[in-house]
Amino acid sequence: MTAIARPLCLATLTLTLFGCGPGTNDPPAPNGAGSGQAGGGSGGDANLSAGGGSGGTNGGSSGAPSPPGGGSAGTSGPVACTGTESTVVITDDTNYSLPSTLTIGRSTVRDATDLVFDWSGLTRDLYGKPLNPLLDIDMILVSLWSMTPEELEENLEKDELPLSANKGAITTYPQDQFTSQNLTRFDLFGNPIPEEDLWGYFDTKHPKFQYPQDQYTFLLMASTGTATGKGVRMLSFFTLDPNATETTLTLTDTSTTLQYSVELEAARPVFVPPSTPGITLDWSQMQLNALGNEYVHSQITQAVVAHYATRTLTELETSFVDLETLADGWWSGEVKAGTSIQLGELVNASGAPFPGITDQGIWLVALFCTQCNNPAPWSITLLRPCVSG
Amino acid sequence: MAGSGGTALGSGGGATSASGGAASGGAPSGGTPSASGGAANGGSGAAGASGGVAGAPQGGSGGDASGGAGGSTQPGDDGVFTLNLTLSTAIPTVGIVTFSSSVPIEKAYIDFGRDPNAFEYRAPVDLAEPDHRTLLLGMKQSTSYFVRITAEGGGQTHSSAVHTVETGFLPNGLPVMEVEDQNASALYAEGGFTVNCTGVASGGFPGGFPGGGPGGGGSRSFAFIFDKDGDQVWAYELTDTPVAECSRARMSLDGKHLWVGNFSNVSPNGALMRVPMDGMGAEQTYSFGGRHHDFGILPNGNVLFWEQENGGGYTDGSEGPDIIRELDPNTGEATDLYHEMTDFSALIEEAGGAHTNHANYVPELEAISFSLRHSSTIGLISYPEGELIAVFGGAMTTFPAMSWDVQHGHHVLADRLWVFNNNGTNGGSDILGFDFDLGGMSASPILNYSSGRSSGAFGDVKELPNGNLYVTYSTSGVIHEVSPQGALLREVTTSASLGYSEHRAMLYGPPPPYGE
Repeated sequence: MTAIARPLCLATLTLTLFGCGPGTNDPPAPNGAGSGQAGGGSGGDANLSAGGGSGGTNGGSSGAPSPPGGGSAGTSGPVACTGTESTVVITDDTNYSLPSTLTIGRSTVRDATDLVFDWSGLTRDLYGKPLNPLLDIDMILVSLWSMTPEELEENLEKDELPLSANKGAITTYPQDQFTSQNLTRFDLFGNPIPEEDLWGYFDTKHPKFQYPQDQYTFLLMASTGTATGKGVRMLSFFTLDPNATETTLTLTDTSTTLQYSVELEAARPVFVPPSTPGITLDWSQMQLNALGNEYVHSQITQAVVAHYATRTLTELETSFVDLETLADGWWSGEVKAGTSIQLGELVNASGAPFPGITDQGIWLVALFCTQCNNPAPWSITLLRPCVSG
Repeated sequence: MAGSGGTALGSGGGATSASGGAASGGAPSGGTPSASGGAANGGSGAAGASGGVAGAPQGGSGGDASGGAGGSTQPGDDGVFTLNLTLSTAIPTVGIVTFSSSVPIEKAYIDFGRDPNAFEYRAPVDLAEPDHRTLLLGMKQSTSYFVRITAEGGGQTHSSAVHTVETGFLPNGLPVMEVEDQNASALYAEGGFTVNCTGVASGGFPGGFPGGGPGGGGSRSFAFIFDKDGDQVWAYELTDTPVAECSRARMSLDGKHLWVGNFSNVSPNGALMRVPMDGMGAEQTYSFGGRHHDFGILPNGNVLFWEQENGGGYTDGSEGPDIIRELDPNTGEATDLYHEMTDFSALIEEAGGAHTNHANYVPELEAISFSLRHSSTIGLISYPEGELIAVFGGAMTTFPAMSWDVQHGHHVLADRLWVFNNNGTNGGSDILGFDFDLGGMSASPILNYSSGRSSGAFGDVKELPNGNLYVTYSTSGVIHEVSPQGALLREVTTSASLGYSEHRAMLYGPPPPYGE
């Protein structure tokens, strides 16, 4: 993947990784990882025909030099099957990477005020996907964190927001009825809040207020669905100031900007026999996930094999958020326990099992932590057919 | 008092009968019994997704569990035992030992651990169990363990050869516990075991939602047990059960079951469920619509719980009072122990409801303590009579020195009270300690532990047998073990909101507060 050269496409994917970060209620797919404008490189179509693709790099390639027979994007010549491919052990160098930059808007609003939270102006989410503020926003959540905005943003970007830093949250559920809400009409996940309790958090002069605004930050999130921390579409920060005049917090399409670059081409592919579903994928040797964080093996709860008959890797990188909809074949399955799964156990929407890869198009296998709030797969590995001797 | 029975939705079949009495006491964990029996037996079994089992039956009989490979008999065994060692098919970190012996047995126990020369745990054998069926609890995932039976009878002691078993994997997606010690040598039971659950965040409360990162988010919920290293050693998925919104999991009095209760905050969906510790066999669910928050274990093995009088929900904007009740799990029937309006009517009416959120049996006083959130009050009543003994905190307090703003978990002892004060100081929740004298009706503060950590709801404190405090900041996924003087000894963090904790030295014997 070539260097990111497209304006507006320096979309570093915001791994909207909040302690209460975005995700989807459904099993996350790569297209839920956030689009923004993909910083796709143009480094040669790394199509999988022999010799194809130059596999350019894009700032921070995670690809390691390919071992003999391994091949990187654009490797030349067929690779012979060795007979040991019944188990494929993925390692960090076989993984894609997802460097990102997160920029979250900040506001200062007046304290001790029945603030108004307004999301009526939203037309796109932080991934760049269109949304209807009335119909698509099912929950507004305001949470308080013992961090400065800079610290909170950094932790979110790294997907390392500690729950221990959270000091509380309130909610409101529009139910397709409104696109703004007053603070005093928020509730506690559906339960009424005594107004007196609210002022302990929103009135800096209240005797119970213990959250100096140079040390604490409020996080405002608008989500699809009502699963807490999932399906986040937009967010922003705010702090309180008795001298501020603003009393309305408005979420807009630019309240958060998302920049990411998806690097699939630099990943070393793994070679497997075609038409062979009985391949065991083993991730026990993974050290880091695509986000650069520890690959906790026991957190993989879903596996997906996807096939793209005519797409190029560059196209997939560019349309990362749409990987599922672009797929010509999609087999998924739950990982109940352990650090491996047999790919033949994965099924498509019709219930048909994964039949093994072919020598056509792009095949990849993705592993997800569905218990995590970040929907981006922890690893994506390219599968290529080896040649039987 | 007679009361209406709940609806026991026991599905029957496979449920372990509740003895109602105290389980046979467990031997102390750790330690190294005199090593005999020689080296570990062979056959570690295939460590597949469900784990593998090594079996090396003594004296010929006793087959392998499925998936395991058999081993050979080791010399050194006296040929007394015929043993079968398997793993639970539901929870592959739970070992199951059955055995027979050629000599009479008066007492037996099973030592097991990762080092055959230094067994870590000792499981007491209940001789009344068919085939002396004994569970090995506390084993880590995907790990080899050495197992040996020792039996005493007729003035003699017999020990089996050492067998091996390799545990399987617990479900993926469990919360990951990060442990940081400040003074590990001062920990109770070297860190012990903690029983807890996830799922409470789905019910919603301030500050409680799935954290990011491993194990933190998602809609699945589990009851689980982690060990002194923070490693999960037992887990049971609750996602598709009536108690998915788990706020409390704790072991039964006889140690054979895990009880689970859902949050069901001001809703008519309250339930309790118990599962056998081997996870096999049917779950037993008890539906009490107005039941919520928490439950306790009574000295007869019954379950202490409470229900909103209105069946769960709001009546004219008020939650109303709760009725404290006792469930007999064998019959599914519940009897009323105490109606909170008896002594707290003014408080409850003024506060818009009782919102009982925590209760315990107090062995030293043969009493029940219960927390009324909305009036920042803890009541103490005699059991089973249900007569008011004392009031801690709030407008009705018997002890003026006791005052705080909102509490959940607490621990009443004979002359001491610990309170998890949600709205504390230092930007967080405080642990308040008081000495009190029931006879003289006096009290004095002894400690205010203010770490800055917080739990907007739930949260608990328990005094451990060595005097340390075990503090759970539920909604923020933080646990502290603290010295009696308030020094932090250990911090455990995770990315998931938790329920109330049960912390114990071993997974055998009666649970707290019944002593270990």
